[in-house]
Amino acid sequence: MESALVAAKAKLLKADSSGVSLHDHLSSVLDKIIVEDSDNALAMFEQISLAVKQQHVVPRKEYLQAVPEPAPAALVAKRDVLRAKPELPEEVEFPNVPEENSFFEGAGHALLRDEAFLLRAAMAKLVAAKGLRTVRFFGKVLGTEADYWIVEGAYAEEPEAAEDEGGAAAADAKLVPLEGNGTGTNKFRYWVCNELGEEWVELPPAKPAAIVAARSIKKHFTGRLSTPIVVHPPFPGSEADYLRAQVARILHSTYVAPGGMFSFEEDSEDEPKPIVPTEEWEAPLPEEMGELSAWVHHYSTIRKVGRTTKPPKAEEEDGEEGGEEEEEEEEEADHLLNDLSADPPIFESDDTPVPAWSVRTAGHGAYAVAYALSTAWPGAIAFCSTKPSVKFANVYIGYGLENTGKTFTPKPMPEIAREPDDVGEEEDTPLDAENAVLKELEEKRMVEEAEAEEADAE
Amino acid sequence: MELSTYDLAATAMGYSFLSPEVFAAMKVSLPVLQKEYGFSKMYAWGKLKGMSADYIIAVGVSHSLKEATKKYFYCSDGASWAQMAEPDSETAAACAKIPQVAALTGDAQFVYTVSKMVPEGEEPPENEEDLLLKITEDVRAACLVKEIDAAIAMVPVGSISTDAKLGVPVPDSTFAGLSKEASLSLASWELLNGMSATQQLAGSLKAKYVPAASLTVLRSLVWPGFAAFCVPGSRVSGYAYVGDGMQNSDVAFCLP
Repeated sequence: MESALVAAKAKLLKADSSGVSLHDHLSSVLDKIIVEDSDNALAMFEQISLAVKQQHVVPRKEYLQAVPEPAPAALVAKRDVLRAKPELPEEVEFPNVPEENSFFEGAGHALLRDEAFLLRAAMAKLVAAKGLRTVRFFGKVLGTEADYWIVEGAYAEEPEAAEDEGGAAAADAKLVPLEGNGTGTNKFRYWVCNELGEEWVELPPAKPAAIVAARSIKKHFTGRLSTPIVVHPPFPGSEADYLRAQVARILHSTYVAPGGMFSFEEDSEDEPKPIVPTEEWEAPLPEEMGELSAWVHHYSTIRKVGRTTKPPKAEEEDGEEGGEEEEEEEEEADHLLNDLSADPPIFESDDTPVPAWSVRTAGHGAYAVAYALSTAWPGAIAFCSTKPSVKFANVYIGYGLENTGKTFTPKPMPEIAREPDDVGEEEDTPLDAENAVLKELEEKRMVEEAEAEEADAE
Repeated sequence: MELSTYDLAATAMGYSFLSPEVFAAMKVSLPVLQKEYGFSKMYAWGKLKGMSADYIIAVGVSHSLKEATKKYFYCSDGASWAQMAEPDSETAAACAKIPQVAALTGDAQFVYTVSKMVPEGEEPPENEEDLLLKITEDVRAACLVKEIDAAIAMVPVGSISTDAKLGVPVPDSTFAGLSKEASLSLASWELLNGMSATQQLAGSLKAKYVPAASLTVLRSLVWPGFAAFCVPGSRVSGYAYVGDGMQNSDVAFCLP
């Protein structure tokens, strides 16, 4: 009898996989009932038992699905950007992003509509955070892992730290110096992010060496700024520098404006003369904008050296070399304010030539919209609408690669350095001769010292 | 892609590629086309970019995209569809001789002149003119669409299976969609000819997940402008192509 009792109790005391026995559980349940002094303990028994059980049962993973996953961080970031609605100073040049996008939609090359509104909010956040004077959506560069959203802008007041950066880079005298902030390829600054709502990251300034190197490579973007660019010839910098170089090349090759809207400032003494809005200008009709000759380049050509202007004159030491280079550079024409029909075709052929640009119009009558599409940089597009007022904008959405019209040929590897010629053997100087020279030098020094002492004494 | 999943396709592509005007036209013209030809389904295929105009392409199927008898259509406005030519292998070979860089003009009647291949053992014709073959651009476009569709168009593995009775590929009614993890693996995707997507040039086809859209996206670098997508956990998937129709022959240099 007693042994049966012991056996039964032992059975109750046997712990299960979670380390709890039925005996313990029942004790805890009874304890809870007594402590809580519940009136309807019998009716509540199952709930109380369940509540006790949940305290010591480790739930299995597959039962956890009822717990909702947190909202994706990307969505939360987007919502927060849309919520922010910062107040912008009136003097900021802020484009009507959704409206411009609706014009680009007409050409079938635009952002999704909801993205345009999100972009406007993200740009407003950038302007407010950095204190920008002007801002524009440059475009989107598609990467293998992520895409870059790129915004162009200029500070209302230049931050101080940024100038140091330029100075340090320019200190390397061997490199072609960068163009200063607010001029040439560094006229604007650029901020990028992979997903709207993320923090904007500023790109480094455009470096002439990077622009020159970018011309001779063809490499897809990954979407990660720190990715090293493994190419031949070596590229000076990471993907951030490569992206900045391509942005500069795209801007200077493909940013176009309606012809006549801007003209050179004749009174200016700067060289090249800056361009300003033409004072009295009559907007063309939409059908007139459907001609290549109606569009003009808005930014200077980037020279072979990787700048829009000649580098400042080199030091006197290599004055001769500088002179020669200068003569060569003289021949480089600037396409600023030239119309697009002057751009060389990217492929010449009798029956199927490929011009650098194509133009088309969409819509009807006076409210038609004209588009200029670059063939050299597929994905670069500009629109111009003339009614009720003149509007034009440029955008780039593409892979960030140039269409040269040729199969890519990598630069050949440099020749492998050969073994240098053997250096001829020289005869050892005999010790006596060496000593003789040393003795002579020493005597000369002693004589000079003696003379100096005498002179001091006098 | 089905036109109703256009926003997903545009997200996968990275931008919106159909103008609202064309999209609105396709919304009404594709169902009409489907009835006229008795297709079970119409898909928007994408766009071949031309200099003066683009070719909007659609494809109609009796059962599924995998069938050999599907028909392609083209237009430039989303409404005035014309069936694409069905080029034979000789024409396709001749089309391949048109220089890659020669962009489509956008004029379907534009004529390319290429020299014909003379089969081995045959005397070349005396008259040189007989050697020249004239190809209109609509035929060239048809060749490009067929080539791209065969080379890269893909669907999730399991979404299309062979019907036991008919012996033709049909949408698999038991297919429940890919999980997020599976959708990111190339092994879960197959080309329309049944080849696995893993056989693409390594690194040229990348899958990524876009959390903001709950979408898995695949883009090809061999055929820039090709994008496939699926919504993990659902039957929604599709693909689209928007580009100049050219293969990136420099891809080996371009891979990061």
